[in-house]
Amino acid sequence: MRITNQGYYNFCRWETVKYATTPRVHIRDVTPVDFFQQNMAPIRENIRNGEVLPACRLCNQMEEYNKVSGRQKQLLKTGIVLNNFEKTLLASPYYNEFKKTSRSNLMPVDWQVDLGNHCNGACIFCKPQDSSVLANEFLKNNLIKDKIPTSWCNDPKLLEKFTDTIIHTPNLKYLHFIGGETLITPAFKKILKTLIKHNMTDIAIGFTTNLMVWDDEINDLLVQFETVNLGMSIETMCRVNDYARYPSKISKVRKLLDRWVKFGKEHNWLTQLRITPTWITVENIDEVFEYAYTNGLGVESCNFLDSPKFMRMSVLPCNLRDKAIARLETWINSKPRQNSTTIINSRHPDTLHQQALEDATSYMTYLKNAPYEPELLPELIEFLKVIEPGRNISILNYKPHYAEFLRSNGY
Amino acid sequence: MQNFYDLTDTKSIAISICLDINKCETNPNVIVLVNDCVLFDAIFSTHVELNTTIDVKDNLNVSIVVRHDNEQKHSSVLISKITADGFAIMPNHNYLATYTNAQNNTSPTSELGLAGKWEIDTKQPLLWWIHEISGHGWLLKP
Repeated sequence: MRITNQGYYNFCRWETVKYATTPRVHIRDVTPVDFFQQNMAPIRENIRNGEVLPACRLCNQMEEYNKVSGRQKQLLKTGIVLNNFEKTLLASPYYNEFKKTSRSNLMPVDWQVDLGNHCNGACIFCKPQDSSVLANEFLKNNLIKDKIPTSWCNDPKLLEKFTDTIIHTPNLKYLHFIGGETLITPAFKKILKTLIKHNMTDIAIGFTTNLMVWDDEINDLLVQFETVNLGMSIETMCRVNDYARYPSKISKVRKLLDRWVKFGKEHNWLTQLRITPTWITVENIDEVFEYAYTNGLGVESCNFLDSPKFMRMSVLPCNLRDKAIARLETWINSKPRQNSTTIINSRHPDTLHQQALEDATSYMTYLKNAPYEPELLPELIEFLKVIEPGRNISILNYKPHYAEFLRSNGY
Repeated sequence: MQNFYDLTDTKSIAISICLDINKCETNPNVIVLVNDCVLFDAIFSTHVELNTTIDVKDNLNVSIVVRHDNEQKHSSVLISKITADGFAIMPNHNYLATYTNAQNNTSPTSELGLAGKWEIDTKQPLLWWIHEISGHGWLLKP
C-alpha cells in the first residue's frame, strides 16, 4: 500500500492514479487500516474476478517488454509466481485471505511512504508534486497555475495518525520512504525515532536519496535497524546527469555515491542504484549498470517512465535509439550470462549481476520495440524552451549530437 | 476467462525419484518413502524411477532407508535425481538433507554406501521451501 505526497492512498505503489476506478481517499478522512481493510475490498474483488485493472497499466507495460513488474515483485512476497500461478496461488500463505469477499481483517505490512515534495533537486523529468524546487520553478514559468498542496506529513495530526497505525501493526515488515528528498524531510527522522522508541528496529527500512545529502544524525538512526535498503538515484555517470538531475554536479554526486556505497557495505545494507531512464539519459545508462556491476550493487528502476510523457525514451527516433541499443548490447555481451529463470526478487545479493543484466536487456527491448511517439515532441520542445533559460543550460551542451533531431522539431 | 474461482483444490505436485546403483558384492535392502508412503521396499539391484504426487499445500519428506543384513560389501545407492514438478531438489540441494548412519558420516552426499537413513524434509509446504531455497526473498504470512 502507498500513501502519496499529498496524503492520498494508493492500493499499490505502482497504481496509475489517473486510470483508477475507485474514489481517491485521503488520510485526513480515512485511517490507513480502514482504507486497507474496507476501501480496498472492491479492488480485491475485481482482481479475483479476473479483471485487468486500468490502474495496473504500468505493470502490464513492463511485462510487455520483459521487465520484471511491480506486480510480479509483490506477488512473490506472498509466494506466487506467474510461471506457476495456479499452484503457487493455492499454496500461498494468503490463499484463504484472497478468498474472502468481505472486509479484510489484515493490516498493511508493506508500505511505500511518500513523504512529500520537499526536495533540493529539480530533476528535469520530475513533477512538481515530487519536488518543491521544481514546483517553484514551474510556478515562476507559468507551467502550473496553483501551488502544490502541502505534504501530508507536515501536519502533525496526520503524521501521528500514520505512526499510530504502524506501531500497532503486528508483523509490520517493510516501510519504503521516498520524497522529495527523504533525508531533508523532517518526517523521515520523526518516523525513524518513533519506530526506535517502540523497539521496532526489526522491520526493514528502505529509502531513496538523490545523492545530494549526507546526514550523520539520520545515519545514526538508520544503523539501528536490522535491515536497510538504500536506493541512490543517478541517471548517468557522466555530466549528462547534471542536466537530468539539475542542479547536482556529477563530481560531487560520485563522491557521495562512493561514500554511501562504503557506508552501506559497512552496515550490510542492500544498496541499489535507482534509475529513471529518459530520452536524455538512456544512451548512457550502460555506465550506471557498469558501476553497479563492478561494485556489487543492484540496479532498479520502478517502471518505464510514463509521465511526463515527453520525457519518455520513445520520443527518440530510430537512428538515435540505435546508439543506445548498441551501447547496452555491448555492455550486456561483455558480461557472463547465466541461463537461469528471470530474477523477480531484485534484492537477493547473490543475483545482483544477473538482475542488472536482465534490467539492461529490458531497456534494450523497449528501445527496439516501443512505438515512436513524435506527437510528444512539440510539448517537449516548448518545455525545454521555457525551463532551460532559467537554469542557464542547454541540452545541446550535453547532447550535441541531438542537435539535428531537436532543431528539426523546433528547438 | 479463467479466474480465481475456477481454481480447484485438487492440484498436486509430481515427485520423481531416480535411483541408481554402484554395484558391489551384494545388494542392499532399500525402502523409499515419500511423506510416509512406501514407494519402494525391496532388494535394490538396478535403476529405478519412482513417481508419486503430493498435494500442492503439503510438506515433502523423502526418506531412503538402506539396510545391510551382513558385513559383506554392499552396493551403494546413488540418488541420481529427485524433482518436484521438474524442480531439481537433488542433486542441487543435497546440503539440506540429513544422512544418519552407523559410521556417523554426515557429509552431504548423493551416494548412500552405508546402512542408515537419508532424508530430506522441507518442514513446511514444499512450495514455501522452494521459495526460500530459491532466494525469492520474503514470504509474508498473515
